[in-house]
Amino acid sequence: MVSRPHGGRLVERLASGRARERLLKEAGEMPRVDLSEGLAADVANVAHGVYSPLEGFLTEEDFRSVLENMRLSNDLPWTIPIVLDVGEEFKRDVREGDEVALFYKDRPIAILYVEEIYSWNKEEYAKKIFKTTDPGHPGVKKTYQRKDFLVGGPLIQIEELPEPFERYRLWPKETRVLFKERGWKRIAAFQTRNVPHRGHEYVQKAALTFTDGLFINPLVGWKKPGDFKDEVIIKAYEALIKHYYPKESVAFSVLRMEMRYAGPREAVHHAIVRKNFGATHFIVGRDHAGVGSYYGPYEAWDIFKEFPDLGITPLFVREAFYCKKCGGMVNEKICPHPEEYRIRISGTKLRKMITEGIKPPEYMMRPEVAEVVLSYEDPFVH
Amino acid sequence: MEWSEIRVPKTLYSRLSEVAKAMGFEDPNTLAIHLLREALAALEEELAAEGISEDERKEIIERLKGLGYL
Ligand SMILES: [Zn+2]
Repeated sequence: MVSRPHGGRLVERLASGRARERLLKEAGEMPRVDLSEGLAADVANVAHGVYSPLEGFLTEEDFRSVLENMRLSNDLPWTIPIVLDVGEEFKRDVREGDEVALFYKDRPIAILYVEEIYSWNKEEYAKKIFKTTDPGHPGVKKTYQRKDFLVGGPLIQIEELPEPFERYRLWPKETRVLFKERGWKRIAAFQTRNVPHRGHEYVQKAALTFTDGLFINPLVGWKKPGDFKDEVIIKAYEALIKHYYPKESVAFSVLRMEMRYAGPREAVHHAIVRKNFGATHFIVGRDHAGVGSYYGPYEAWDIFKEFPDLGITPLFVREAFYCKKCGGMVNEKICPHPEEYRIRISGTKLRKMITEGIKPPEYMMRPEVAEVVLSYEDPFVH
Repeated sequence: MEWSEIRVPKTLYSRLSEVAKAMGFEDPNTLAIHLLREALAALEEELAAEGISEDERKEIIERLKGLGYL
């Protein structure tokens, strides 16, 4: 059975027909908020139910509850606050009950019904969400750069965001139908922002072995310098799926959502999002959504104990490596051999090889995948 | 966090206490919250609505076919 949406109902906040035309016209007259790429993606994700049960940006009661209890004020698990920050002038000019237009790249994309404008303590936020107040942490740094007030309330989308990878953009409504049509009952979702190496393939296939379908769902947009470009990741997966996966058991689509690097909290967030897409299982990596050494290696696994009511089953699959003695990809749980037989696949090592134009060995990366990656003059984000 | 009270039979409370202790839960209350959330989520699952009309489903299937997903 495809997972029920978080909170029981898939949210849809899309204006259509006459209502949409009216709102588009009125948007020009409303106070205006310009959105970053990340916030625009949040708007689209709310509107299409990726963030069900959220219908907009968090109001203060929910915000406090997410910070303190990792739950919305209705007790539903929710770990990452979806918030819109605004400045002094907004607070001065806009009243609770007003409608404001949310703009992205000079076009109105949504209307926000202002329920509340409230202040927030960024340091407290950083401590709760990122477990550190160190501005060297990319999420903390970004938090400190945000404006001083938050505005909460429901929104309605009036314009779809441009998507360069339109062919691979599926919303929860679509994946739910897709999974059902394919007859999948147990669906394992895989979150990624990397080109696939043999370790990823191993983990995905381990999950697929005892489920009906594998849902590969990379995040696109806003990468750190040094990360692979979105297009490279997509093309690399196309090659991997074409040559090494049973096509009828895999679904591949992209999700435009910002990485927060909030480690354990973000791992739960990623799981909830995939639950809304209809997945029943979610593969949680070691140090999932971590950065630097801010989180312990298994913190992203331990946190799931606090959510017996999550509604999606986390799969904790151990890191895979190649064992010369076993003669294949294995993990610590199934390989008894000492370290000298084991070849670990490190992302750093792979990156270095690719930068130097060297084709990684087959036990690290499938040759068809390596060829795709190497065909790019510059596969990295700068 | 704000709190409300729930009454349970004393016998059930002792059972909760024993299991909480054996399983390393902080106290019987914490275990009760854990169990309630787990059980409620299962019940809520049954109450959830599908929310996709037949026409919409057909439309989505067409798009998925066009994209090569089906
Ligand atoms: Zn071995």
